[in-house]
Amino acid sequence: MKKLLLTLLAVIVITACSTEKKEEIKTEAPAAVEQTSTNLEITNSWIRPSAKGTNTAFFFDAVNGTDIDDTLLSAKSDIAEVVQVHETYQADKGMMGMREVKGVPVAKNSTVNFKPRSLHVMLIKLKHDVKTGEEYKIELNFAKKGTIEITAPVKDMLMKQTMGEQKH
Amino acid sequence: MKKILLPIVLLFTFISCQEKFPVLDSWGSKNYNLVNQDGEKVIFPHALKGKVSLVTYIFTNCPDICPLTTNNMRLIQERMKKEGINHVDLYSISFDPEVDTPPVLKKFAEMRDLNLSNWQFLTGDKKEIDDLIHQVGVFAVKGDSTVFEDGKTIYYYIHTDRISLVDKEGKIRKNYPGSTTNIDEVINDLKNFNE
Repeated sequence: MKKLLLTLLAVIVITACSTEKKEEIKTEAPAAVEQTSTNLEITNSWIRPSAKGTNTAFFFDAVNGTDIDDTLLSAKSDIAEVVQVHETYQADKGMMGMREVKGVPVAKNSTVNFKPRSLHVMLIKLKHDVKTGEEYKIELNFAKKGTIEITAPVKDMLMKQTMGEQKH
Repeated sequence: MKKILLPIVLLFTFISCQEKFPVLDSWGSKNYNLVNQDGEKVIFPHALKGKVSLVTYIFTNCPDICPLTTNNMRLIQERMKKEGINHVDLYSISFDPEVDTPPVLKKFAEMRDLNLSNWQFLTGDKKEIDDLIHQVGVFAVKGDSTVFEDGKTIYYYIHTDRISLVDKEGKIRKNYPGSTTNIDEVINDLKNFNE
């Protein structure tokens, strides 16, 4: 009886304080290497909504389906006072920072993902509110390709997990 | 025998739970005079006492990490509502109070259509905020900046990326990586934690 009681109580203790099995954090798939394009194209573009006077980010995939290495040199848009290419990085003690990047190589037959927690085009000091559902033009200037004009939608982040998985 | 066993088991349960959510940090006896997005006074962490809280640290000029963290807070809030977890309040504290005034914080929330029924955005005096965050090991240092034609400068902070689980006594019991928080983990913890 004592043994049974002890076993029962041990089970109660374990159940009371057990952690549910941790679900594996989903991570992003590595950038695709195989290209179907024969051009340098911008896909999956979107802008995060933000208020007038603040900053936001423009994300996209630069798909270089050509046999020529290229480099993103700069970006331009009428919706912000300043537009720069930035990257988010992990600093000491688990801190996160952001810095300007001068030129992002987009090698031949490769894709560079401009995505949350990574590379992005920074739209600094917005001239007006940028709201979900709107669209804005942004120019990307490449060393070889020249200028590509994108019309990007403003999308809210309805993400299940902020490991880059978006649910639009 | 039964009389002896029961207290032992209860003690064991208490110790085991403490180990799962040990006290990591606290603001001690300090309190800070903050204001929320509506300009209402909030004595922090006094205002948290009596309910479990999730507290995060942001600045609104942050284009990448803080929106992700804010989005995670929203996802947690939505899951809480869905799963009937109503013993938890949410707080986002700005570590850039010179820029993040109550109207700026209010607009930040409005642009994201956030539900502020149990979620407050807090700001205050820069020195107080600095002391508040340093007390619990949160850091925000000015990094790169942009200087505009009118001479005005905005700074991009290098900062701790964190959401903290705070108990009913205002003590930090667990920290999550803010921008990459596992929502399921937080929800499971909230279901198991009501101290």
